[in-house]
Amino acid sequence: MRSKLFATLALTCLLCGFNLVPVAADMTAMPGAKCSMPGMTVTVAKLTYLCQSKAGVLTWSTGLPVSKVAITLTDGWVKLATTGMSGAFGIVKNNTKNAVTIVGVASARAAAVQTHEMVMKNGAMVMQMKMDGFTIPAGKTLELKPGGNHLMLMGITKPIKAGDYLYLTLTTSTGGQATVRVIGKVFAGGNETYDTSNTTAMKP
Amino acid sequence: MSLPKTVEITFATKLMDIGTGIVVLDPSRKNIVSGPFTVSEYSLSAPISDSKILGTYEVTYRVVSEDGHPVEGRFNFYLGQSSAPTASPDRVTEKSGRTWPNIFLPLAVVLALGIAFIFRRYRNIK
Amino acid sequence: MSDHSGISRRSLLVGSGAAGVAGASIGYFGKKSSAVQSMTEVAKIGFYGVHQSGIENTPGLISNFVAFDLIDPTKANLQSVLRLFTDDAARLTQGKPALADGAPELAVNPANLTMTLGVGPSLFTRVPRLPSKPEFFNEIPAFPNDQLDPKWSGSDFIIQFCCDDSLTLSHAVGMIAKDLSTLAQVRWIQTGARSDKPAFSGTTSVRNLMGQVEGSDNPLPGNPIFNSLVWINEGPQWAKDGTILILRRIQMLMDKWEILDRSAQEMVIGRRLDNGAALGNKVENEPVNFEATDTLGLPLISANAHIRLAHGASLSERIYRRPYNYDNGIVDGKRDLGLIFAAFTSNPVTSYLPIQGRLAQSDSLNKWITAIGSSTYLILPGCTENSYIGETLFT
Ligand code: HEM
Ligand SMILES: [Cu+2]
Repeated sequence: MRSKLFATLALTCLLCGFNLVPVAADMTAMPGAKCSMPGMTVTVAKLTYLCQSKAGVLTWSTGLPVSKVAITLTDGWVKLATTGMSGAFGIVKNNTKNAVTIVGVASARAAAVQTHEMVMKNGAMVMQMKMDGFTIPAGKTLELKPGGNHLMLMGITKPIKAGDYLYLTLTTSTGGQATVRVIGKVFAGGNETYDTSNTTAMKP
Repeated sequence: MSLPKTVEITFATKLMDIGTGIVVLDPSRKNIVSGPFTVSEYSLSAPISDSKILGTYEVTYRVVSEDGHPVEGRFNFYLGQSSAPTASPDRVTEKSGRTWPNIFLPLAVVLALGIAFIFRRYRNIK
Repeated sequence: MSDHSGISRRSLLVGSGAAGVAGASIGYFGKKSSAVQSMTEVAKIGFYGVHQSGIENTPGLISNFVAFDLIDPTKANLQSVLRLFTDDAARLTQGKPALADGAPELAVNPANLTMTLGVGPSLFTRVPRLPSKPEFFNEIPAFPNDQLDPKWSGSDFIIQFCCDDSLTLSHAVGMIAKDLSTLAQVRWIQTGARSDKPAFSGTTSVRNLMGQVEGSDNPLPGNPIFNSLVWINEGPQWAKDGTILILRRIQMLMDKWEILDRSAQEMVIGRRLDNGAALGNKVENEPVNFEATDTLGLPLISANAHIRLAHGASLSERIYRRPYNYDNGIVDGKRDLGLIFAAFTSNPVTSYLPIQGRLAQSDSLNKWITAIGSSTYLILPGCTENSYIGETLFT
């Protein structure tokens, strides 16, 4: 099951021109899985591992024990896509008394889900991965919207059709998880250019 | 002596089947219309039940001519002989309230199974 | 279910007049009047409930009946349509933009928008493995004088939009059409309007394009028999608390109608033009005496008067009418206008069909009207916040 997922990922990344980055030699934390794209999360034996870049090299984080966390996402939707990438949006609320950082997101419908932000580069707005995730202060909300912060589904495994429900599992820096629902919507906008220089810069 | 089975009134203009009504009273003032009336191009007819009572029968009708004017009228016929002081074809009333005595002169023809009553509207009379 | 928040349409209409006045001052003082704000806030109708909205509440001034066919008739696609519809309608009717709304500013004035979804009989033959439909739910058979045009008849499903504001209405229709664009295509749209004034003071009836007072004898919500007449309470469970919509596009032949004297026009219906009173009565809401005669002894409401034939032979043989006028401008050199006849009933076989049967046979009105479109839909039951319209079809 897992190896199939990664085969799809590799293929999709070639298609969408995503640059593969070097993979850490040490994969002891997550035997068998390939940490090939930042943002990937995999949960094994009640521990969640996050594929992240450390000094330009992709490595699995140490396993975070899974617990429930009170974050909710309302008004969630995802842009239709047949292959490649798509953006997911909504309003995330931190219902806890502490600041929460969303460091990883997973979905059965994508090889990886990344946290993206929009930045100005060479006079144009481009999106790029937000390496340190989204931090939401206690009791506050974060709006994810086209042209702003958003979740990026990479390597879509099955076309996202209008009215489809997709479930996303948000993981916080402390291992907290919340599963939220988004609905597939026709949307013509939000076709931001993806700036991968941030990722390629991670090359040693 | 017996009554025809149908009363049929024929008009000089075409009819529209709206607002149509017909009542046939026998000399005892009982309505003897015995079934649904029929409006054909120029005529209104209604079945009547057999009545042996001799005397004056009164037919009252309302039709709407093709040009959209409702017309009401009344006339009598007799079985045997008149049982009432006569009985010229009464007033004909246009629904709008104007009363036009004898304008819709009946050009009456008695048909085999009915009574034909023809009226002509004089359009130029106002 | 509609939220009867104590605000009547009348007071809203009066209110919007006031808002207009307040609005006029905006330019002057450069400040937004709070009167403007509050008027838009109250003019909304709740979306969730046992029944869908758009049936019990006062009809909005304008409407769009949008008929759709599924592109690929699968159960999954139908489910997607219903989820998207519910999500959009729950927001748009409350003055909130839809998700992925391309023009969110156009959503802020709900203006009594209602969005109501019904499924057509064809859906049950086209989509595999749906539960069976109630026996009494079928396409209405064509009647002898009908001249039905497929352009205005039938579809897999329909959405009735009613609203008091054209901008809000257009936006809602556009939003839905876009959201469903990959799943369903629009077959036809019928655009309707109702007068924003009652026919005369003290009535809820409005005039139609023939000038008649319409709504005199109509079992309105609140009538003790309304619930049993309108809401389905037999047959498959999924349809319970739904209703059946009969939607007919009926063209009025106005040039011919105007030939008639007023009194003849009144005879056609059996009611007066000025105040809607049944012939022989003084006022609109007096009980009709079908036996009343004039001074000559002739029946005042003739045998083929519209109301005599349309009048239910029994209490259950009644329908709830919620019609709109349509005016399609000039077609082939002739004015194309008439009635979007929309009636709701819990069982058309025992109510609508006998009425229509009598009308088709001998209604005087037939000379001046022609049905050019006919469709039937089962308006699905309402839903709660945690479900979607039509979920009962999938459980
Ligand atoms: C263009 C077409 C039509 C026009 C202009 C029209 C007009 C009217 C008017 C003016 C009235 C009297 C006022 C009222 O009670 O609302 C009325 C009553 C009614 N109409 Fe129609 N109508 C049309 C078509 C239909 C159709 C197709 C049906 C159903 C098959 C229908 C069923 C009824 C019923 C049930 C009543 C109430 C009768 C009663 O119980 O008194 N109408 N219509
Ligand atoms: Cu992105």
